[in-house]
Amino acid sequence: MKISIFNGNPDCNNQDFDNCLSSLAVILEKEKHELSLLQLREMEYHHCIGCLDCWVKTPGICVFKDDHVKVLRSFLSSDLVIFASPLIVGFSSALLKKAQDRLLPVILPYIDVSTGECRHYLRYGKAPVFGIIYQPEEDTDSEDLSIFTELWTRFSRNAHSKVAFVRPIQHSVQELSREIARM
Amino acid sequence: MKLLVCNGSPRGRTSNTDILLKPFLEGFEEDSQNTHETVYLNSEDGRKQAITSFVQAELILIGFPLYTDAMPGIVKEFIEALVPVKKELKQFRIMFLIHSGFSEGSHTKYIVRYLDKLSRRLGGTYLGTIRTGGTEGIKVQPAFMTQKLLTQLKIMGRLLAQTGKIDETLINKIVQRERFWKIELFFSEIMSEYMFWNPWLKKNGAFEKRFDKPLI
Ligand SMILES: Cc1cc2nc3c(=O)[nH]c(=O)nc-3n(C[C@H](O)[C@H](O)[C@H](O)COP(=O)(O)O)c2cc1C
Repeated sequence: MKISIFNGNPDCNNQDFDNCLSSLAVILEKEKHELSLLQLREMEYHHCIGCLDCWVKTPGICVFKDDHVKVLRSFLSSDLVIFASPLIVGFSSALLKKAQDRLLPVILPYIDVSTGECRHYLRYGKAPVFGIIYQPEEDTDSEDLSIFTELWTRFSRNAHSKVAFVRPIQHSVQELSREIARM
Repeated sequence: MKLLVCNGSPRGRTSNTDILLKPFLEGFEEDSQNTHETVYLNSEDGRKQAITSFVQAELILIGFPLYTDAMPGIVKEFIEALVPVKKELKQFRIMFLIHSGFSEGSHTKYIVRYLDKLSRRLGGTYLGTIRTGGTEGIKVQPAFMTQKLLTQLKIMGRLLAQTGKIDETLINKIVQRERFWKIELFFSEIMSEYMFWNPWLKKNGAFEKRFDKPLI
C-alpha cells in the first residue's frame, strides 16, 4: 500500500510526536508499504486566499507555487493518508489546517448530490482513505475528542473518503501497523 | 456597547463574510451608543492587531466561512495565538457568524460544538453561533434572493443591542433546514454548474480546461 503521513506538528521541540511518526514509518516500511513522511513545518506553505483560481482560471493549479504541490502529489498517489498533529486548542494545528485548505485543487467546483447531501466532485476521480494521529493536550477530554473526530469525519465525507482510524500517539505503533495491514 | 468584529475570511475586505456582517452591524448600531471595530485576520498584521483588541474587548464576534468543514487555517492560527494571552483577557461575551458555500445547514452544524467549547476554554461567555449556507453566490445573486437573509441578520444585530443575546429562534430561522430534498439538491447541482461555474470559467477562457488533471 502507498501511505503518506503529513506531519502537522509545528513545534520542533515536541520530540514525542515526531518520534512516534518516525517509528511508525520504520515499521510500515518494514511491512513493505511505500511510505512518504512529509514535514509540513519545514515547507514553504502559503495560506489559501479563497481566490478559486484553481477552479475557474487555471483548473487544478493553485496561484501559489510553493511546497503544497509535493503534498498534493503525495495525497493523490496514496491509498492511505495519515493526517498527524498534536491537538492545539482542541483541534489539529493551524499548520495542518493550512495544508488541508490547500487541497482545494484536487476537487472540482461542480456539486455531487448523489449521497443526499452536497459535496464536490473529485478532479482526479479517487481519494485516499484517511487516518488520524493526534497527541492529547493536558486538558483534552472526551468532548474534545468527539468534536475533533466528528470534524475530520465530516471532511472525509466531503472528500469522498472515510476516516479509518483516529489514534493518540500513546497507541502502540505495532498495533497500528497491524490495523493498517488489515485494511 | 462596543463590539469587536474579527473577520476570519481569507478574502478579507472583499469577503462574503463582510457582506453578512454589514446588516448585522447596522442593526446593532441603530442604538447610537453602540460602536464596533473590525479587524481582518487574513494577514499577519491583522492577526496581531486582533490579539491586541481581543485582550481589551468585552463583546466579540468572530465571523468566518467554512473551510474544509471547519475554520480556515488563518482562523486556527488566530485561535492558537490567543492562548498565550488567555490570562490577560477581560470578562467577555462571544458569538460567531459562520457560513458555508453549500446551502444545507448540515455543513455548518458540526463546528458549532467546537466554537462553544472554545469559548469556555478561553473563559468567555458563549452567546451562540449564527450560521447560514449557500453564500458563495451572494454577490451575484439578485436582491430578491438575498434580502430575507440580510434583513434577518439586521434584526439579529438589533436584538443583540436590545437584549445582549443572540436570539435562538432567529438562529434556527436563518439556518432554514439541515437537509434539503433530493429534488432541491438536484436543482442546485444544475443551477450552480450552468448559472455560476460555467459562465465564470468561460469568462476566464478556462472552460475547456475545467476537468484538467495537471498533477498526474
Ligand atoms: C479552501 C476552501 C474550502 C472550503 N470548504 C467548504 C466546505 O467544506 N463546505 C462548504 O460548504 N463550503 C466550503 N467553502 C466555500 C466557502 O465557505 C464559501 O465560498 C464562502 O462563501 C466564502 O466566504 P468568504 O467570501 O467570506 O470567504 C470552501 C472554500 C474554500 C476556498
